[in-house]
Amino acid sequence: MEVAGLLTVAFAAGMLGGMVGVGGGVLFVPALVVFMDLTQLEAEATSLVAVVAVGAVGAWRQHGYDNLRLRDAVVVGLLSPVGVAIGVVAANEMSQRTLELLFAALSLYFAAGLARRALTPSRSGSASP
Amino acid sequence: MPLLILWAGHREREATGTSLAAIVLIALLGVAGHAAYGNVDFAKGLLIAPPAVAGVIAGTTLQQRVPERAVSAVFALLLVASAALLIF
Repeated sequence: MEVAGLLTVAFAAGMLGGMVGVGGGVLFVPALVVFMDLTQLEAEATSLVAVVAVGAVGAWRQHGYDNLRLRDAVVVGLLSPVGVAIGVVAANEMSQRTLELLFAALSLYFAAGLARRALTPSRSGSASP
Repeated sequence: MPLLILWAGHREREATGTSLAAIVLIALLGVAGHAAYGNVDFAKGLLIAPPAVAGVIAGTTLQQRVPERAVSAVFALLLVASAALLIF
């Protein structure tokens, strides 16, 4: 029963990843904690194995649809550890609550940008930042 | 994904494809780091990978059939939900 639940959530996580371009960890991690009794740290670490698979197959599929800019992906991939390092320093310099509120504000800022875009009539070929 | 759309001028499907490729690099680094500390349960990771891969194939296929703006709308909702969890 646990395995069936885990595999169902894993499928849903992959589907979400394919739809919006995320790795699926947001669903893998709680599923591994709940169904497999892993600790939070073990679940986060283990979920990355599936995230690699989701990212690779998803990128390959999108490449087939001509939706992959590999150079930009490499730039983002290589810059991310820098962002992580800055995040680690920031996390040690401010309280957990401040960090949560800052991250929430950043999420809402991006959500507003995407919502504005979603509500703007599409014009072919142009981006509207 | 929002960065690629709002700052790098990607269209939605390009942003998701590019984001997924970047995630491979980031997750590989993460797996290597966590494995060094013995925190990766590879058997369980490989157990969830096949259904997740089936899911991503279904998701990318479905994504080609919905308007690009809908992808932005779904991601905006996810961000709002994430912000709400952080705030409350």
